Amino acid sequence: MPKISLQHRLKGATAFGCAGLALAACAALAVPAKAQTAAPAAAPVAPAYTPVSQSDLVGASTSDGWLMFNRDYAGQDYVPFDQINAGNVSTLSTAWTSGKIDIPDGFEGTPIVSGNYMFVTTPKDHVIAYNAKTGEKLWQYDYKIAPAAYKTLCCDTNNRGVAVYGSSVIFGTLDNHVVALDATTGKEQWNVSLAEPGVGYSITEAPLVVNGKVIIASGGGEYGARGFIVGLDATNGQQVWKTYTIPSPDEPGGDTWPKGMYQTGGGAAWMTGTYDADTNTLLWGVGNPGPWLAKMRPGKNLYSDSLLALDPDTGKMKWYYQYTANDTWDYDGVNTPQLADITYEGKSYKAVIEANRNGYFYAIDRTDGKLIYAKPFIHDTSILGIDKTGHAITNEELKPTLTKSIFTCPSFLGGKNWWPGSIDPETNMAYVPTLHACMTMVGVPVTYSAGLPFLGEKFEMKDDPTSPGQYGSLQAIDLSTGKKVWEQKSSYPWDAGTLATKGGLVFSGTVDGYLKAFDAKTGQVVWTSPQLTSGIISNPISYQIDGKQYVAIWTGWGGVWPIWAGKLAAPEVKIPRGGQLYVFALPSS
Amino acid sequence: MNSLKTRVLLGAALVAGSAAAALAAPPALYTADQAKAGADVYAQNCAMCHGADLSGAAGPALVGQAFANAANKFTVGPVFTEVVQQMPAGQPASLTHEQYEDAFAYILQQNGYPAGTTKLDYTATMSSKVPLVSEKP
Repeated sequence: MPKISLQHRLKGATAFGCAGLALAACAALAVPAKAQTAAPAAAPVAPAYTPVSQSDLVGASTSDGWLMFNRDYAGQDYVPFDQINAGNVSTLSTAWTSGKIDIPDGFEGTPIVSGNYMFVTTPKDHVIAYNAKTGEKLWQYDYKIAPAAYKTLCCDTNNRGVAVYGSSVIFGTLDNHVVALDATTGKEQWNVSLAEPGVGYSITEAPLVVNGKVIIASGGGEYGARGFIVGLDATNGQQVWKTYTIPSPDEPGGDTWPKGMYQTGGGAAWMTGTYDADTNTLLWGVGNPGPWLAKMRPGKNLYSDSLLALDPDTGKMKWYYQYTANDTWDYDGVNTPQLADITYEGKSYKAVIEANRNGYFYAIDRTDGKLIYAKPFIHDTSILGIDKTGHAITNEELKPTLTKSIFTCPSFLGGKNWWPGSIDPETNMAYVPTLHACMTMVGVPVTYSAGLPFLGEKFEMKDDPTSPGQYGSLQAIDLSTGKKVWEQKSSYPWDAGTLATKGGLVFSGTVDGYLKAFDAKTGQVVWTSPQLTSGIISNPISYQIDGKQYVAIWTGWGGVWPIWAGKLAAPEVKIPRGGQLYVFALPSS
Repeated sequence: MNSLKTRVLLGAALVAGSAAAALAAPPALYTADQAKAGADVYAQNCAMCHGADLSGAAGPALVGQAFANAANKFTVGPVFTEVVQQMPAGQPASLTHEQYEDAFAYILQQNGYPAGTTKLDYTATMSSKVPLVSEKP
């Protein structure tokens, strides 16, 4: 190897903060840099790729890979691997990293691992394939976003990841295309458009593939875009079904809107849903109604802020549950609906669990959409309790008007935002990344104009008076009671997802750039990584190759908090930008 | 200039209506001093989300056809109102009226609107029906 490459390796390794790592880990850490700087670069040898079938997806919870956004159809973000555990996690070291990626926006992607391939997305819709074992970069696909898309972004240029099916890697784009690439070459297989860019819609979520259909939806609730979910034929992208989340007047629920307002009613289904294979039911959350100011649209405004149970083959609705009726606080219902079999007050349920933006932790019977329980997990003044029908009682006194400014909790970012939490079947707990903040809000006049925000409110985030200066926590909630078991508090917002493992650990990242492991039962911190190159706002994953367990996470500060938290985000202004993927493992003995 | 050619050809083809109005030379809506001051206001309060060159990043683009094209049928009033009511994101309505006037003058300038002798006025601009169509690609 030429001397210059060695120098580069050492320099690169130092930059990654090797001081806190074992020497062996430092050497391992430089491997990708070596692979990328070898000139002339030998073409990477593509590992063999086994196509992904529907039965692989149904069995994803026992796979060595990480085959979909929330790992499995149940959306538990839990791995049955225990090679890394409380006894040895303190020796966890860097196995490999990607090169630093110079995009100053938020890296919210969840890596997908299928066989020896890892597929990742970056902000602005780039897709990269790595050898998941060595970190060697296999291919990169640079999507060209239509400039008009930048007019109607909500909250950064993020892309949360891909879906895998057959030999395809499938993802959505900010300008509303869905694209399939060949898993081994990155070559485009098909590319379809779901909606024009620049009028409100934009896709940031990872698709979910069920029964050969690519299920995906878009954002746009801040622009009055009428939400929809589609099922596309995974072999060619052709639309099989399309279900609007906001019904027209002649459909069930259409009478919950003032005349004509369904057309600009929002209800973006902007996060990946889950799937119950036993009943062939898709579960997908729906976001806030448009405009934000509820006084402009009297009625329940179905199916905004709701959980939808759909037939994945037709898009037909089986049942729905609305978390927040006539919402005026931006309490989207899009957090991951996680399947879990639970016991509550002596009775067994097939449940779906959701820690909602409105600050309540929900358990819903997934066979019929009836509430099992809902309990507050933060200081909550917007929701007063649960009524006899099993629905949230909204605080009408704290709804703003054009002349009335209100103060309420939680803020428009919710008690929990989009970050996937975990369900751990061993501890019977849910791990919930939590925000603690309140807000002021007042109505302002607004008329709909395609491509302009459609809010009708102005709002500003404030400290929660019951926990000033504490904007985040990681909570463990007992699934049998809905009550908190432990909590790790932070002055920073808890702005990242969680991974639970059979090794008795919960992994999550911090905005100041540390990946941490917590004891799943007690919440005690059992491992902290060296400080990584940027803050973490993504979801950790774990996978196994050749009997070795890995934990991977994106760093790359950005996303919703620095844009919308105002003065509360002042401490984060100096966090370095740019993305880098880190993969950790136990040192080789 | 390509855009000028397009303008003349399209102008000849169109008889009347809003499309023709949008193709007329944009009016002077602010003063050069306002735009100059607005560059600083923009750099300090807007650039972190909308990009130093207004091309958009975490927040939407504020320049060119990706911001305001003829098909959008934007007028100045609603866009200015959006800015003064909602921006900067997270701290809405936290700038002075003068700062909003200046920042918006700068945005108009960057989109090819000419400076004039009359200052852009906060209250009057909120209800302005002047078409907002960027002169920039």
